[in-house]
Amino acid sequence: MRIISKLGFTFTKQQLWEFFLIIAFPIHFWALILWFQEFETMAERSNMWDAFGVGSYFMAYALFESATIFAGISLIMLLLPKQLDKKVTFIVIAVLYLVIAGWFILEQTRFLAIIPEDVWFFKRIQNLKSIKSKAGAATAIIFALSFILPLIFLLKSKKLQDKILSFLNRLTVLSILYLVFDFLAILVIIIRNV
Amino acid sequence: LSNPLSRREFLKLSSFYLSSSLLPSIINIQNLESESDLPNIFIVVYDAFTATQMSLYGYDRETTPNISQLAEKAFVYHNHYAGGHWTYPGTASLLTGVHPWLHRGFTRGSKIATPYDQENLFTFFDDYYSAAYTHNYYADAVLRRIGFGIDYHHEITRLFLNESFILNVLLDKDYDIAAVSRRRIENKYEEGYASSLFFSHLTKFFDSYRERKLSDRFVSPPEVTGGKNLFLLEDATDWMIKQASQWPRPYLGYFHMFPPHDPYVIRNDFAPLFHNDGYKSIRKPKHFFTQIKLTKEKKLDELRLAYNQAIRYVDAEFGRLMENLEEQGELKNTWVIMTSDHGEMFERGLLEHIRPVFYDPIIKIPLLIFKPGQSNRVDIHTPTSAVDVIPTLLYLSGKPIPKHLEGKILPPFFNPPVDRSVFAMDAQYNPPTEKMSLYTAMHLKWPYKFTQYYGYAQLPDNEPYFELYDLENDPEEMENLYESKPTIAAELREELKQEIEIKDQPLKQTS
Repeated sequence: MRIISKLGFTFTKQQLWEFFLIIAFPIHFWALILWFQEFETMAERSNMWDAFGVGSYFMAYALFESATIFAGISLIMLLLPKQLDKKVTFIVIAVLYLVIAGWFILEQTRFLAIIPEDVWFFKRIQNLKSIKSKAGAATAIIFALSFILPLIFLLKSKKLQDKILSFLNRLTVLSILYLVFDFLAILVIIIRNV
Repeated sequence: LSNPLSRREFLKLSSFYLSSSLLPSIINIQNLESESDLPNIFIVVYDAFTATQMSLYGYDRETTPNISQLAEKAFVYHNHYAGGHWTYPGTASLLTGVHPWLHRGFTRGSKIATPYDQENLFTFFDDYYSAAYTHNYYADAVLRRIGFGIDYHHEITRLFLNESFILNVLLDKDYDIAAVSRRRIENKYEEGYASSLFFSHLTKFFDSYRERKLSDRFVSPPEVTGGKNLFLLEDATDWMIKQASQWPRPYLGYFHMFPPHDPYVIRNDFAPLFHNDGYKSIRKPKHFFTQIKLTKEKKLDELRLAYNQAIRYVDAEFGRLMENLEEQGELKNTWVIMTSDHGEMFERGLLEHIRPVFYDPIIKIPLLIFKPGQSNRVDIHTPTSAVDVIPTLLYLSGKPIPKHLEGKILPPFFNPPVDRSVFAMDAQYNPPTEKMSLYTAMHLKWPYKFTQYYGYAQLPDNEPYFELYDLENDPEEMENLYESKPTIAAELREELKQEIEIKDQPLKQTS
């Protein structure tokens, strides 16, 4: 019971808003990239209005995805101790989230042939048996380090924390722009379905 | 009774009970039953089915053993051409009997010009009981544009295994684009990437329940492009067999099945076929429409293999359909027509039927006509067109043939000259309300096939581009004779130009 009473960490309202924007950033960024990827084909096969329609569904879904993930992480954060430093926790969770998002983006870009198939290693980490191999082990180490190293540096350096915070603040400004796109996208969807 | 009706169900039921036309239609059915000696007409269209990859027509892989066997008691058309290179214009030409330059079904869902929207297959046979179904949203859009003469239009989702509430109800008016978007948002496993960064990884997890039921039968889930609408061709075949025995006579049935369209549905029993069978595709010259990413011949070969396996599925189901119709005694008094709306290609760096080209794989389609009680095979090599189907059916049914129809009565019922003109065209980027300035048009006058491309941004030197092939000596269309046979090219070009000048009538905004 004592342990439970110590749990229940939450961000401030301002931090929650910023955290939502940070979560929305890579999701919207990726949705936009994919929309650009699809745009030409869609415009060719149908027309520009339909191509914008596809983009609108992409963005609206990105908003839904962002909100769902935000809600999920916020609930999970309730399991953290109340007394954690809000600022440091905010930075750490945001950075870890962005690293995860980066890996997810990298995983999908494999198919866009940015990284040649034969040097690609992410798939190995999905198959635990392959970790026994050298390449698999190296992959696992790189994957783990991508989380551990930022965590160590962040916890050790206040300077780095401030710099990251400043970077995150800039990210949130961009995210607000994405939310404007979301609003327009929802309008387009409504118009297309009226 | 404990479940409240959904909005959709409520609307369906409401329209049923409130329909003022219900009583007249019952009376109509009773009247029709008294004329039951008239033969029925049963049209089956398999989407994106190229004649060039059917063993019936000489393809090296045995893709159509059942159809070949059935063809022993049919009229087999060896040089039959679609009206357009994709579903909307191709289907509209088949159902209206005119080319896209007249019906103006250039783009998805575009209006069909008057009078073709009101005078078409279904209205010509308005004394028949007519029924229609399609898995394909584009074909369904054509049916909705012209199909007020259809007595029973089986709703597209009725033969899907799953109905999505969001797509089919909330986004119903924008279904096509919403469905395509949903696929590109969620389905990472098809292209390898999807617009949803995280949730696309969960698609397989959520789909697995539905798909598990099918996994022991299919290589990948049988779905309609875009909507993740799963379906079984077997269900559609069963439905057609059952309904055929119940419809009032005479009936006219139009059934437009999705396979072998992409995504290729491969049933497990056909999956082992054609691997390492020594088949070698002919490497053909690249085209100015060549899609850079798709130029890898190996990739095209892989897709062709999957397509061929999908054809075997269609072949098996068509065989089953005919077998059952025969057992039911249906074929004794029914004309069965099996055809397609357009073809499919895997060459020149051009995939499927995306680009407006008119090489034989994309435009040459099967046509088999089974006469009631037919016992012999008749091979027809005269070039024929999708727009010939309606005049032929009218002729066979003793009905007058409206003058506006562009097709001819098919041989052997009537013999048009072998060197007749066959046309096809596409203007999907040209507004139907404007004169044609951005289009591809084909003029075939055996053995020469002339194709012209106008207005595309990809045109070399921004000039119109022309092709001329001698199909007799160069059936693979390897050598463009446009420069070397200027007289023939000029003749075909001039005739095509005249045809377009007369018939290119922009769609009226109000029609």
